[in-house]
Amino acid sequence: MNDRDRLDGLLDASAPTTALVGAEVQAELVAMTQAARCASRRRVKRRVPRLAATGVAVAFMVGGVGAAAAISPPSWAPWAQEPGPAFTFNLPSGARCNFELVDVTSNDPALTQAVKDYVSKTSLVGLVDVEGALRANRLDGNQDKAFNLAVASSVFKIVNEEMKRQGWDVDDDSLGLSMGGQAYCPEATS
Amino acid sequence: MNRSTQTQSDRAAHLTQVMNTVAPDLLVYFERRVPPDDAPDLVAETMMTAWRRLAVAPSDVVEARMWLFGIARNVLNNANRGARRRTRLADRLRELRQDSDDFAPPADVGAEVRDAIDRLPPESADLIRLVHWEGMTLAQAADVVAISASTAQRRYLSAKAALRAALMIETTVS
Repeated sequence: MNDRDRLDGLLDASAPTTALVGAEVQAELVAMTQAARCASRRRVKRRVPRLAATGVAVAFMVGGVGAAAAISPPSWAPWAQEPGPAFTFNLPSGARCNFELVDVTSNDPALTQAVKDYVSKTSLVGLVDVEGALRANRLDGNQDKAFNLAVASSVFKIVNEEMKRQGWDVDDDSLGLSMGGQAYCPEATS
Repeated sequence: MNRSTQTQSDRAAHLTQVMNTVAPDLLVYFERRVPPDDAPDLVAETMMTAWRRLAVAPSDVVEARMWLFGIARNVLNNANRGARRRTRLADRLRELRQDSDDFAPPADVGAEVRDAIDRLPPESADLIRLVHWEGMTLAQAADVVAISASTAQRRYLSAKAALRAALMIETTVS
């Protein structure tokens, strides 16, 4: 065995051991594939904004115009790790929140870049229309949960309208425009 | 089939087929890199991300496999930055893995080599692991890491030189 072979052999053998993947596990993975498909539809194609709960951190995601889903994770959602444009706002209770637009993706890199360019040089906080979003989504403006969701909805709407103005047909599902937002409200208690 | 002639249903059927084949490898990929209890959740996250990006899934089987590993790598990087989520999708798989008796040889085999790999620059370490643990070609690993083949070749050779030095394996000129 020459030296190169010896190193290759050592590297090949260094893989951490794992349990073998038996028939039962394989069957479960097949089931998970379909369950994941259903779960991904629920997260992306929901047309009615929904807020599961308000905690100190609330994540929003939108795919296409007006589609939004919200979750209340114990930490930043996995897709919300990359920092993006941010601004602060106050909830009706007085708690201060930091909203961040994250994870902008689409099937056309030029569209993705157009969104990123726009939000990077735009003061979103000056454009957010919370009252309009509350009315459009029939939400109670006196509640922190509703207010939080309205901020996210308004940001997504602003971005979508700007992209339309720039000539992008963001209603075209094949473009697959999606973006996430996350509101972190350390003073919020419920 | 040409991508432009594929219907949504065709693409979904194709992705299902590829995912069913690749999922066991993805599970092992994660189990080699995170605590075993976390791996099923990362598999589930990878699957959901892939479904959300169905429109851009490669129609070629090998490319689709690399695409799924690329998603898995991003999911792993996010997890390593601190995000950990439990999903009910993975509950049954987690139970099955916890109950598994089918374990391969002891985990301390190769510990010294793994430590040396861990000390490499992250992207070089990824290349080494993908090639030697997941059995990919260097070109496939380059796809997963999203770098050019020539860059991958350069980093791979450099990484192996560093590993030779770290493991004190002398190079002989043949």
